[in-house]
Amino acid sequence: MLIFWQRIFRSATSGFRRNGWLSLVAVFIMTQALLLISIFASLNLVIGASITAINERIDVALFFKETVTQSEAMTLKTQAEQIEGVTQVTYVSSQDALDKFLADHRNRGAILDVVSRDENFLPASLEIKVTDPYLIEGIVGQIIRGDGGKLISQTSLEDNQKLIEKLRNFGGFVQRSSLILALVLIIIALLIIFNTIRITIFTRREEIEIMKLVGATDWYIRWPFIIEGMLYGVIATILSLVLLYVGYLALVKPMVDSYLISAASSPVFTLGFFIFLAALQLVVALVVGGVSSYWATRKHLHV
Amino acid sequence: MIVFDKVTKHYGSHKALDDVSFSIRPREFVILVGPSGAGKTTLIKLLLCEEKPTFGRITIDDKDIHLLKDRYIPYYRRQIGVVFQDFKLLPNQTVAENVAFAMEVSGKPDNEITKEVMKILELVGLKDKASNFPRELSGGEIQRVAIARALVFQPKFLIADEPTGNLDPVTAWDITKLLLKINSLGTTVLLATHNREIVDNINKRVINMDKGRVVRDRRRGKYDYK
Ligand SMILES: Nc1ncnc2c1ncn2[C@@H]1O[C@H](COP(=O)(O)OP(=O)(O)OP(=O)(O)O)[C@@H](O)[C@H]1O
Ligand SMILES: [Mg+2]
Repeated sequence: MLIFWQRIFRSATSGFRRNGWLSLVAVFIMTQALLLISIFASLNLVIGASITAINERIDVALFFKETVTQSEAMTLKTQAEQIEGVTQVTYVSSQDALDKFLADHRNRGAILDVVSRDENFLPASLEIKVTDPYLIEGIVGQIIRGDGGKLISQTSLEDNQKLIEKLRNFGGFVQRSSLILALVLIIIALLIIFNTIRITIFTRREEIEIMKLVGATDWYIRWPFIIEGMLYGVIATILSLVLLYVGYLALVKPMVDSYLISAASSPVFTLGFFIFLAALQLVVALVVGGVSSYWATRKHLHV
Repeated sequence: MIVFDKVTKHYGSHKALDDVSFSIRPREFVILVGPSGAGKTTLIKLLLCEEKPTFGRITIDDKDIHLLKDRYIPYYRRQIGVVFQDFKLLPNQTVAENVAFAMEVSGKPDNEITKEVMKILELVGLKDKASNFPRELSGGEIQRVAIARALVFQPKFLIADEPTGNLDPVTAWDITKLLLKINSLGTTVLLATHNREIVDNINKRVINMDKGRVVRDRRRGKYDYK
């Protein structure tokens, strides 16, 4: 049995070498399809994690109308502190907000130029921390229904909802387009591998005929071609994993670390996720490679 | 026991075989003669399940070989050694690889293959050409490679289609003697040939064919049937 597979592998790798550039094109297209699938899967993950992170925030900001005086604000703060589930209420004056904004964006000269200290556009706010993210809506509602209604112009809760909405829309768009593109690329990869195997069968038809006449079984003849097709898949998987990792280190990681979901409680791109991606790619690649070459042997290898 | 029972083979409207009946007993040496186009190669193709008869049947030990399921055909073929009229050697493989090929296909281990290949190449006198390619060999040597490949299985049944064509009389005799030797060791041999001198001198059973029909079948036959 071992000998059977050794011989078949030898035959398959020689087929790969003989096809030269066509093999490379097959691998290249397959790699692209795999990359897109991975990007699709990663985006799903990032968006899911972002939404969870936003929903899990245990703090909310209530922004005051411009006309609200500090004493009115302090009264509301005291009321808010009485509410069940609230752990901490901080008053952030308009000036505090501006200072914080400027500190956060210290290394961006352009913004500093635009934001003049005289025209402070940032409203004063109350930052409320609660014990449980699920209490937030109720607490905010209670404040608004009470005295807060007259004083508060906006809450970060609405911002969050808008952000989640935007994330969902963006995610849906990217997912749909990358899925369609990946599907198209998979079909192209299928056709190219099919054609590559067809050519291999054609160049080796004499050998195949002789093999049959000296008693080779159908599968003994067929396996090398199917393995050759799967080999394209394996090589494409390795290539795409390397590219993905490089891309992750160079682009995604710095971004994730600084902005996107720094609030997430656990890292988004775990080792487990990479293993899942690798497995997903390998399965897709093996199926595409195997199916197209099997199909080619069915059509052209009259065994 | 191989039995051809009223076998007819049409290629389109052309009758390559017409109502052919005969049988071959185990260990027999049978020569098939007849002019070009008489149907000798066609008969061999039917025997190998390369083609199906249009009418009639071919049985081996009472089993109709054309009723074999496709997936059993390879195993059936492994019992038959064939020297093809056009040799069917692989040009980009050495003599040893060409012979080994037939054994690899049947899943024998490498060391056993190497041993058997060397033994058989010695038998056909090509031991020192083992690593040459077919294009580096003479016509007679190529024919001997084809015979070596057919024999390496130690088949119960050997078919040789024109194995002495294009050979000088001495080499042709060498090959014929080899076939006789193999037959004396217990292998059934079916030899298709045009070589009158050989047929007339070895005193074996001769089946004469013409235009797809068996015209004569004699225990100790001659090339001419008239
Ligand atoms: N695949 C085919 N399609 C159509 N006609 C065929 C085919 N194979 C053989 N024939 C015809 O069948 C007849 C018998 O051919 P066959 O090859 O059996 O002759 P043969 O006795 O082996 O001749 P030779 O001594 O020249 O080898 C010939 O007339 C040939 O043209
Ligand atoms: Mg012939």
